[in-house]
Amino acid sequence: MRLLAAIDRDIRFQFRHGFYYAYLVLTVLYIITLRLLPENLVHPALTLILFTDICALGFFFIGAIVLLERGQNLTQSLFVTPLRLHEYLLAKILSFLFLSLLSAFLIMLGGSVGGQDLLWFIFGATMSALIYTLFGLVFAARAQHVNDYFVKALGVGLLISLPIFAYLRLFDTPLFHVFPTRATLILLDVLSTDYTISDKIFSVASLLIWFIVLSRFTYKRFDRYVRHPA
Amino acid sequence: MKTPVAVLARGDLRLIARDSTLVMAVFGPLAITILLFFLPVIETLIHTKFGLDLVPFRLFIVSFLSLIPGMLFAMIYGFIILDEHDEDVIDFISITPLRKAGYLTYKLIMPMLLSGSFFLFVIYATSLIQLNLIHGIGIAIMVAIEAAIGTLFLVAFSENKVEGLAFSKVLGIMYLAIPLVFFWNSSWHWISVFLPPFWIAKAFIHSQASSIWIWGDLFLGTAMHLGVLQYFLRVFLGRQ
Repeated sequence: MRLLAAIDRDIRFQFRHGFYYAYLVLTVLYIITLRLLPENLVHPALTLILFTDICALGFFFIGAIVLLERGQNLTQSLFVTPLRLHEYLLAKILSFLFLSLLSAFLIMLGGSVGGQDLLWFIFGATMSALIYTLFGLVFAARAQHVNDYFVKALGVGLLISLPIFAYLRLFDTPLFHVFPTRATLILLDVLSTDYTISDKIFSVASLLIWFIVLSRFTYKRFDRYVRHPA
Repeated sequence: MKTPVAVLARGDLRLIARDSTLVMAVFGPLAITILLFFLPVIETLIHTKFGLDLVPFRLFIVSFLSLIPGMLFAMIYGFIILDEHDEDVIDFISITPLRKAGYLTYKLIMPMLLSGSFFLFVIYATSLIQLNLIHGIGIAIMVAIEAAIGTLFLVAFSENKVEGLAFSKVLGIMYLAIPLVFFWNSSWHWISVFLPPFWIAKAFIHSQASSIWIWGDLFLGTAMHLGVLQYFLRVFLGRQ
């Protein structure tokens, strides 16, 4: 119940601050782009749109949200209520997941894009959105300013996005298998590309492991720097 | 005695160095410059790997990428203003001799100077296209004003940094004017005439074609940029 209330609060907050309007505009633009592209480029374009923007939107916004809440001492007040830290964090990642999935669904509907292996795809999109927001939260816990957040988060963000080169068939190395983004790209791309079952299972396992590791790490960082700041 | 601007600049530099904004301010534009330096190599690589010839699109790629640093500087200064707004710094400054107008002037001049000079550096250091110097300076002026427009766009309509971030997503749409001008082979591309980068794209094309229309682009484009800037300025000052 508390979790639902927290998610509701976060979604309202995002709505009030224009996220839904911004993504409505972007969703329409992405649909138009997909409709204008030649048939053979639609699926790769969808994968890149989801990978670089829609699934990563939590990563982009979470820094400023946490900074604003910390600046207004909201986090301090929140943690004297019965709300638990894990509920606070879950509400953050689930509220962004809602916006990501809504936007992704509308883009695919508007662009008439579908394909095979839809369940693998939905799992990939969901886990990626959760993991990206968790990544953002890790850096948001200690950031001092928005620019500070972006420097640190984007630095690591760019680094973990390196498997995009493998996706574009420009450069590949077995090292990329460690990156969660490799798994994301495979599962977002299953709609139109035949991957082996071992590739898909490996990607699912990779995203699950990253999710567990990042969840624990984020919890520790928030416990130390946000709930009990020195 | 230090002038208020010197004090502000020192404060900003300390802020930039401390919270590593400098890394983004340097890394972003530097990455674009490196990308452009290696553009011929990338073109060859893509041509051999995918059989796709990018050379005919070089003018588009250069004009599009050369505007990215301006957008980055606009965002960096926009976020500094939003942070300072959320921390009530602007209210404190408004009662100092610098006043709010002085503060804003300084905060807008910095992204303008950085964007204009970086644009000229990128265009003439990479020499990927031959751009007449007078035309280049004219376009650089528009690029500089566009950075101030970007900064003001983020702060004029937002209550705080979170809303500013949502606006930064929408800011990117402004640059859609460039592909529209280059690739929409219909007079319908004029619907993007109110987006400032429209005039920069037109200026690039007309300068390369040695068309007389370049002067119209530079004159009308600068006027359009100044008009948009003044509108955002009025909105921002009206809301304070």
